[in-house]
Amino acid sequence: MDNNNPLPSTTRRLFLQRSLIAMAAVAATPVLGSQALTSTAVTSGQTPTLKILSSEEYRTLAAVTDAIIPQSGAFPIGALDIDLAARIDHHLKAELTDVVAGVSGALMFIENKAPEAFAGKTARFSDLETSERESILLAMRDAGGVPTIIFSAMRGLSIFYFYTHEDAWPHIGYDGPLVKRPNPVQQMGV
Amino acid sequence: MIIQGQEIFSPVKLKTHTLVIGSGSGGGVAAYHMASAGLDTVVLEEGGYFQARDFNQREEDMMSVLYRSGGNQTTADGLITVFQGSAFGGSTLVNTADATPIEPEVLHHWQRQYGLDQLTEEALAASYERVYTMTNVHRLEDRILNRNNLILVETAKRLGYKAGVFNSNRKGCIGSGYCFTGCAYDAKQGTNLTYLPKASALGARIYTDVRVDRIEPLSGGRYRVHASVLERFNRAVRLPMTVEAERIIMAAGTVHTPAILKRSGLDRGLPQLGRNLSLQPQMVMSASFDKSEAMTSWRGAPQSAYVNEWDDNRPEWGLGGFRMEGAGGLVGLLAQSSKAIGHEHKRIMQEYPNTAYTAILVPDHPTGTMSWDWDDNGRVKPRIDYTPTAEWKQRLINGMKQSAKFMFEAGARRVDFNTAVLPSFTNPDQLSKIDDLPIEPGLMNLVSAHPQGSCRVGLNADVGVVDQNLKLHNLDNIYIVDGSVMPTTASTHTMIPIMVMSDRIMHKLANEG
Ligand SMILES: Cc1cc2nc3c(=O)[nH]c(=O)nc-3n(C[C@H](O)[C@H](O)[C@H](O)COP(=O)(O)OP(=O)(O)OC[C@H]3O[C@@H](n4cnc5c(N)ncnc54)[C@H](O)[C@@H]3O)c2cc1C
Ligand code: SF4
Repeated sequence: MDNNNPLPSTTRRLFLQRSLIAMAAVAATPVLGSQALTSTAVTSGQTPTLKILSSEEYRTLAAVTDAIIPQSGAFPIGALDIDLAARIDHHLKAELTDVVAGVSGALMFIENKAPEAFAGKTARFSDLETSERESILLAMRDAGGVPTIIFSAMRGLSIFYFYTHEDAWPHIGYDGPLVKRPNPVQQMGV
Repeated sequence: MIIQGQEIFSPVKLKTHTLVIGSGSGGGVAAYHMASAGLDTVVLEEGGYFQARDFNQREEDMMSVLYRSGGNQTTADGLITVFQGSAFGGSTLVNTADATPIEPEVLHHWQRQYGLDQLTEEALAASYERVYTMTNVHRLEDRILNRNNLILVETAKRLGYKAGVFNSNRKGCIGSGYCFTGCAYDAKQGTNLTYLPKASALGARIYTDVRVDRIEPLSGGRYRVHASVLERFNRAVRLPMTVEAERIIMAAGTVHTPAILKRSGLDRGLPQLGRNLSLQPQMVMSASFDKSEAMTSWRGAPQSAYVNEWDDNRPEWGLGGFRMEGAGGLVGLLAQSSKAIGHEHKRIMQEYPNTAYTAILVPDHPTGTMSWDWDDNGRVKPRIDYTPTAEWKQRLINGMKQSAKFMFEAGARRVDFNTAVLPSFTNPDQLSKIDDLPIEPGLMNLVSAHPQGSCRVGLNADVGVVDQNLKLHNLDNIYIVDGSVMPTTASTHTMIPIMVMSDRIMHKLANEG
């Protein structure tokens, strides 16, 4: 599995079949509930103050963002250097209940279901090696159906909030805004 | 007078002659004409009041305050992100100021298909003149065109294809590149800098951070409008407001105008309400060039040139074919192109300065429908059901192939699309893979900035929501002047068409006294 695998859906029947299997996996996820998530071992570092996500969700999201934008390679910094998971949490809006519920559901699926469904592993996603996590995300991308939807959503969130961060800009040759101002809603003191 | 929600501390009760709901393309024009006729005019705008000094040129901050649902509004299946501005000035505050007229073939189509004999080029000519003068529409100056856009025009010229530079409603543009996040230089001539301040100077009272919830009919063709003053940062309800009015002009946009009518129970006898929705979805393509070929897509007027070689506009169906247009100024969104993650995606992002971004606009047919729910806070939750037709999908696929080929002709080394499915293309021989692209949710992210048509014009209530004077078929003294009235997608860009449609009727009403 790599970034340039050809279209899985050229074999359309297989694609649909996989989608159905994936759908069932996602449907089963909520029964795990928050109990299962709270029993997840938190490994490294301190959890920052979070606005929306639970510390378990933060931990999974940190692992996901690290796989999507790892450190080193073309340029040194990656998601962990800017605490991308905390940045995403900061920008999530509680009033957008559908978005918040979607992120929670997606993280629950990735943490608890994806390792077994896509790599035959019983461990939780955030306990896996970086390379294993990347393989699982790529397998989700190529599976079609709900896993691909979850992959796209996580990829979109991670990339959007990483490349809108000023620390990323020197590495991609973007010289950033011409004005240096805070968010106007913060200016209003809220 | 402009009154922001945060300046209101007790429930408000108003009486006025004309109430305008929404302050974007349609509402701004309406407010101005009503106020200039000397009519007591109130405008209620759900979004906040922002000025040049507030815009910080950062997507993650500005989209969340200037766009509907923080830029997260999508079709029910997630296939298409539907962008709409929601602030003083509506979508004109965040758009890229491309000024295109209603295409003649579209008007012919409306005449043929829907019998709209009053919407002719002649009937609209005076409105174009007024709108163009007010918003300073002119061809974009060469000095603010960037390589990302010029490459389209130059390559088209070399290949003998049709292409051009947009007309635009700007004044003194410095080419910062940040139109999508609000103009920090007061150059973009949206309704926030033109129609609305003029309406205010003429005595209109414009309230921001005030959401209209429902309309209650009173006797004698009058109405009482129930609204809520909102907290700006999360739009929670702070205080109630009511406005009694003799005339209501609705301009809350294609998604929200029908929602207000539905919640008010005024949809009885209007079977077309919430139907016939067009989204004109777009696909983003990125093409990376040699390092020496700097595209610098984030500086200069972001969307300033187009290739119209493949337009196929006809009276039988209105707009057809597809178009390529430059795109830029959104590092976070444009970084999504390709399906790569990990080190591969980082390598791709290192080519950001020498990557050209292009939107492939594919006009559609009005096949979408909408329904709405409201939460306990009175906030509307629209459900946009939209499935692209097989014919549209084929045009998108053709558009992607032709556009990628075009970029290879221009000298691109790699072409990517915003899909989770397609590989990076490194030469034109690989493009047949696009033929198999499944256009399905989750596999790609399409974008719409031009929703139209949920309250279309029609000769009677069986086929339309408003008549050719944009008045509701089932009630007196209620008009709709926003994008929702378009029977089919009016043009490749919708601001000017909406302004012109609004101007035609509002100017007429104003002059009737
Ligand atoms: C990112 C972007 C780029 C675009 N680029 C271009 C371009 O370059 N050229 C072009 O021609 N067109 C462009 N468009 C499209 C064009 O700007 C819009 O189609 C047009 O402005 C829509 O006009 P409208 O009057 O229908 O609604 P809008 O301009 O969207 O205004 C509707 C207003 O109503 C308010 N509202 C909604 N509900 C309520 C309520 N219940 N109570 C009170 N207020 C309410 C909203 O907050 C909003 O401010 C772009 C649009 C976007 C989003
Ligand atoms: S490009 Fe021009 S119109 Fe757009 S934000 Fe910059 S100065 Fe304003």
